[in-house]
Amino acid sequence: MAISRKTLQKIAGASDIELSKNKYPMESNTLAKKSSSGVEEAQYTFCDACNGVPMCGIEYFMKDGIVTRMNGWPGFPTSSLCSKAYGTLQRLYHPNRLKYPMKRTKPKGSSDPGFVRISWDEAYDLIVKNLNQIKEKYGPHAAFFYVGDPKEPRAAVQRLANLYGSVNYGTESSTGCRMGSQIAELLTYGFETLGSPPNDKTKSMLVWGTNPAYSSDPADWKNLLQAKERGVKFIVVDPRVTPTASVLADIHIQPKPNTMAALASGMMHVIFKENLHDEGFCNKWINGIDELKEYVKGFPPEKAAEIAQVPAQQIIDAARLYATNTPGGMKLSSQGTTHNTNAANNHRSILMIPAICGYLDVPGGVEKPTNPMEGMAGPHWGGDLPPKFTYREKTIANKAHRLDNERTPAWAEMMVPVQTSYLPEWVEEGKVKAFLGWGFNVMIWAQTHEYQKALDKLDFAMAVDYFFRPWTHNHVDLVLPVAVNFERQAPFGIHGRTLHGRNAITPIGEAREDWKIALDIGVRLGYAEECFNGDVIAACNDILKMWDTSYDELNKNLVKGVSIPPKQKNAFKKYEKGMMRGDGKPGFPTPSGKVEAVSMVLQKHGNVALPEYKEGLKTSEEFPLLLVSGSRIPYITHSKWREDSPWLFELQKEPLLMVHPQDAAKREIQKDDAIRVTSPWGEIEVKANPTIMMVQGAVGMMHGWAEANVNALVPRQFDPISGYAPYKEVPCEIKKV
Amino acid sequence: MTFTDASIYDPHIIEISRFRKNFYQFFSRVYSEEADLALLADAKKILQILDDLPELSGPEGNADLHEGARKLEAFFKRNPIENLIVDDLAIEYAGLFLGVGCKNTVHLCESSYGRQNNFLFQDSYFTVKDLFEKTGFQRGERFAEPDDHLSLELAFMAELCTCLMDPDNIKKDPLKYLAIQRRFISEHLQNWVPAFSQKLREVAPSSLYTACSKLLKGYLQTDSSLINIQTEDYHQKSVDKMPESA
Repeated sequence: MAISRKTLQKIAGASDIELSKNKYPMESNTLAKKSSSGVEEAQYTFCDACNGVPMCGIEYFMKDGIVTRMNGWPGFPTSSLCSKAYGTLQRLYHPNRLKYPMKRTKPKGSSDPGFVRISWDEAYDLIVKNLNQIKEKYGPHAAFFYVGDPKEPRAAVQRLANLYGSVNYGTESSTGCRMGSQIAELLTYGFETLGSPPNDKTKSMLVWGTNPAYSSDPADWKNLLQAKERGVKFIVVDPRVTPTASVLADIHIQPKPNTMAALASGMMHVIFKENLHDEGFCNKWINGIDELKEYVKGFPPEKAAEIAQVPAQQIIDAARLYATNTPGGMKLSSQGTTHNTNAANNHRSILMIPAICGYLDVPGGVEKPTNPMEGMAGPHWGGDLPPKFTYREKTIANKAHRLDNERTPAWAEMMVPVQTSYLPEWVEEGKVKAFLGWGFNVMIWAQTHEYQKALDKLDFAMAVDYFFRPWTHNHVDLVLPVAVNFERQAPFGIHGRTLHGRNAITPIGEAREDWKIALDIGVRLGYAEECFNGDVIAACNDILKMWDTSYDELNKNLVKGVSIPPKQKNAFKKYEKGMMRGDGKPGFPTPSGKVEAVSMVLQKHGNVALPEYKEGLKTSEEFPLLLVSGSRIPYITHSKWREDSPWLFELQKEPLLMVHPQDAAKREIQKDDAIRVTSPWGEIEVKANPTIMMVQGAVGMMHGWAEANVNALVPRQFDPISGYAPYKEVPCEIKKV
Repeated sequence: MTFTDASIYDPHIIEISRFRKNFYQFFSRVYSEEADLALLADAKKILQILDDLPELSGPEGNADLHEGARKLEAFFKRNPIENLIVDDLAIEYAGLFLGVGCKNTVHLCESSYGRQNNFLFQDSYFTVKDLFEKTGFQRGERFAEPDDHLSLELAFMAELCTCLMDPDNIKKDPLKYLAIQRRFISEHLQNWVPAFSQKLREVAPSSLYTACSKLLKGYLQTDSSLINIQTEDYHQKSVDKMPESA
């Protein structure tokens, strides 16, 4: 466009206006500080994709304060990075990251919640005002504190909950992840274990419902491969044809998804009948051994095979292989065995197999670490720990106010976090008025819409997250932006007895560490000293002082970490030596002091005390298939941030339903056909992915797709012990759209 | 090229630079944060200027300036009472630019319009930051966005205009600032503002922010012409002395 001289004169004449200069982003008339050094600096942090554990070590490089590349942390205990870890770099600089506190301005239920940016001060004031009002009006236990994914802020949030006075603190693990199996282990053995890695003494391994080729850290999988090379015999139980089954299994059993206890009982039947069990251990160390023997008599291989829909000979072979290749280890799923209406007892029945063989805490068997870190309640940040920092004494003192006492009493007795499945009922009954959630996703819950409705009814709800997720955040009042793994220093790393600190870059926008958010809220509630004036390093130091070290020390030894020497020599059969129980007496840390085939806790609460088989949700002519919610492909993470890393998204871009080719053919369904999946409780539309990975009669799908939320198909029919939903036994039918 | 007291001097340079600065300052503010009453008042002033300059924003002028001005005018007609719409504009800003709109987020950083990916802190961030430092500017401490954020890139242009309003700078080397501006428009702003404007148009066709993005797109074309004219003037015209008034 040509501009004439006349126009130029007019332009010159139009310059005399005054514009407001507020909210102007540039500092004028100042000489910029030269910040570019051009030198790359190595820094260190952990991956949080699998969170809590294994916290794989990342070495990253910065240019002018910006992370430009990364690789595994040399020498770190877990540093073989997978695509998830590399995906965290894309997440760090994703343009959709939440950067500012956002407040809802329109009433719940509005089509547009009307979120607007507010300052941190306004956000904290809003939280504190609501918490104080709720405490005054309904008491502190009406505020529910929750940590989803990432798990890292658990310790800080639990501390905040107890300081505020609420015992009602829950996690995604106390909803549908690891703790369903953990409660089974605590009820049965008295300590948590999914098994220990096979070593030179191990002769056989029972791998049940898990696919470590995909889901374990690479070192763990390598260890299993090495065991296979040494000649260790593997029994892999999984309805799917997985790489683990293909590579490791001497016997691969593919049971119908919800029949574990029948299959395990069938194996125990063979072991007892053929006298392959450890009679001495059984008689001395198993509570209810006679009842167990009697019970499994009812499961001859033929009957177990009929229920599990596997060949009877396979059950016999598996039992013999495991019981005669002594000692045997185990590797169990953290959740594959517990997503059903008989969750805890299914898992307990599997746990009894190594127990009756006498494999507990023997070299090469199911080993229990002799020297767990003192002062912790578990081996990693995925648990609920450390008790002192999190004011465990307050949790115990307030036990009577736990919301899960009534519906899942065994859980309430055994577990620290409250089981969350009954949140809609508690809201309806007026027992919960506020929900403060760090990294939570409503799609974790079966019949998700019930939880969305419950959140809508609360006086106050807030979320802390990396990204805005409408399916969750449209139901809260406040969303706070949180720092990702490169931007945080808390918590430090714990691997065995080695501790590592980490560097943090300046968070994007106004994002803050999740620990800091919890501590800041505590400060404003009047607990400045207890919340270290919002200083996350001081909070970490409060934990680190248990081992006479500090974050400074960790920083000084950043690359190598700080090792805390073990207190005692490695020992086995610790139950015989008084090294398992808190009171120093011989025995297992259970009420009876023995492995509990008959659980005294379950007996007390009127639950089924033996690990019995219970028929799960039934298929029918109308719904002949069983849906497994949560099947996944390797090196991808679920809805936490999968879609925000194109590298991960490339692995699977859309919701797909895995179906056996014969089941697909029967319905004239081909690859990528749009299909409708219907259960008695809901329906979704997805694309079909025929694959022999799925056993005939079952279909599977990864969870966390907002456009096809598989948990909308799952009923709210909970296991009475764990409170877990039957994510992996949903009768359904599929049909080409 | 250095100008002495007796060198070439365009008598309108200060006014034209002020005019240009006003526009860049206005556009910078539009995208720096949510709109407030002061911004809406400024938008009306800008609209008035454009209406007074049909050569630029009329049907025969720049098509984008014309469309942007009409959209802005329509916005004010639809929303005659400004203090009633500030809250809605804050919601709209959050939905469009702060990620709460999720898939419909319109990104405000040049890095997000790169050829390889849309992540923040890519090559353009480093080149822009480096240029800011070399020319002696830096973003305000309270502004928590990357240096290649639209608001900062436009503020940078405004600051360079301010330099062109300083007689000392004019005496020394005004071409230096004009050259930086010309390069910055062609190597940065022109590379992504059209795509940014288009995305806004798709997502929120009748938004204040869309109207302004259309105006911005047109203004960048117009400003390139202004820079060219001024640069040519320095080369061709000769003035004995700076006017006293300067």
